[in-house]
Amino acid sequence: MKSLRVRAPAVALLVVIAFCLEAGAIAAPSRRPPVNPAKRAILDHQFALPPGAAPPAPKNPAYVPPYDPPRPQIELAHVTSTDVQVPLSPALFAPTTQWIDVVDGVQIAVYGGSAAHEGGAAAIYVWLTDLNAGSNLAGTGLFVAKGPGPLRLTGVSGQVVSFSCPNRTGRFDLLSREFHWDPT
Amino acid sequence: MVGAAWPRDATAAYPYTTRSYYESTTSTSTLYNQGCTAGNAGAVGAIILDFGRPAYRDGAYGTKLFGSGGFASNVSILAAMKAFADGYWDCSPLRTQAVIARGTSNYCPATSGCSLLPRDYAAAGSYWGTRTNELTTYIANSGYSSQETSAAADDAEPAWDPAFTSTHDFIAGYNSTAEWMMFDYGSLESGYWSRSNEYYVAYTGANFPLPEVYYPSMAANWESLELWAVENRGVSMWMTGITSEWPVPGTLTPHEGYDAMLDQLQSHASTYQDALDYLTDIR
Repeated sequence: MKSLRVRAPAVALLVVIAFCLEAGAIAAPSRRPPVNPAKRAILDHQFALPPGAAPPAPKNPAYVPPYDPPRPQIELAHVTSTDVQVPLSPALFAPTTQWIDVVDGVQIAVYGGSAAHEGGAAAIYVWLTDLNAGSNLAGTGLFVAKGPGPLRLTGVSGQVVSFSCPNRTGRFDLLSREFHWDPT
Repeated sequence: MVGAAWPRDATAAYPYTTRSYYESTTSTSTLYNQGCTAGNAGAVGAIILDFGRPAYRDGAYGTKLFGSGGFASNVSILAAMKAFADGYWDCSPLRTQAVIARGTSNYCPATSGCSLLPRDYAAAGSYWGTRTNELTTYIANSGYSSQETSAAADDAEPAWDPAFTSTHDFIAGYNSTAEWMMFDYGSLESGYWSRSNEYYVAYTGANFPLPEVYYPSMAANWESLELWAVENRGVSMWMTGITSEWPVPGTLTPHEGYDAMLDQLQSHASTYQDALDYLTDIR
């Protein structure tokens, strides 16, 4: 009887596995590179339930956290060429200058530089962020000019960004996202 | 369990593409909202919260945030990450699982005029590890462990630190204290670091690669390092996934990046993987 009790669930399990394989619900055994014991230990530790972990907490999707307003900590609305840390990979964009402002909780960050993947062409990266939601807004993007870079911001007035490039100057419209070159 | 990560849907062609963030603030309400957004979306996988490059001010280590954020202390970053963990927990359905990674970078080329640079990168890394551990404790004590775990991430770019000193010291410091994974989500542009140094960043201690793959050539660079690892360390690295930066024009979509990386890994028997566990898009 004992062996039957063990065997019956085992048979049932095989049936389930066969059904799942038929249905494609279980993938074939994974093929991964061997991981040495030290790395394996890190992975096992990472994904194990920590000893003494509290039982699952109740969820409260209606919770609204106390408002903690984002606080700009840099000098706003001026062009700087130092300490420019652009939120974009250097494989895509090499910055020279930045101009950042915050208006009604919206961060408007404009970066001048060159598009690394476009042969170093002049480029502007615009980063619009809702600082309270922590999300990017429409209008965020990398805009590449038809001309050699790097581009350097010289000023921002309203929606117009002024800039200089090697041997040329121009303007970039933040709304239309078009470049306009000054006569040479 | 597939591989070593939390299980993904093995029947799906691709893992879930999580949204990762370049952070401009450590506002706890903002980070709660980001976590809730991820939870509502049913996000599964690695989520990197990139708080910018390491910094030091008035006796405190931390980072220089992106945009208008300025200096953020490690304490304020930890509070922000706790808020993200709260938001993810509250808004996620049961059974989704996220690895919440405390992200930084090795940014600061010599010509960039960076302010508030750390006095000691090994110490900066050590504290980064300590705070990563503390987030795990918070997750465990809060009853979130069934769906969340804590990690770190480093956007390590060879061109940003050609001398390799600060990059090495930060990672060494991290591994001296941390008990949790660190994702290398940087690049491998050639001409800066030795293969040995690249491997150190990607795979020493608790480090694992989750590399930027914006172009097919970037996947090829990582396959070159994989082959170097086979030849010089006896085994390839376990590639956890890839990071994309979609929708920058001309770059690979997350799924295209996944395919590019997997194609490279599958081009040699010694580096073969049949799947990657994580896809994340950072913006």
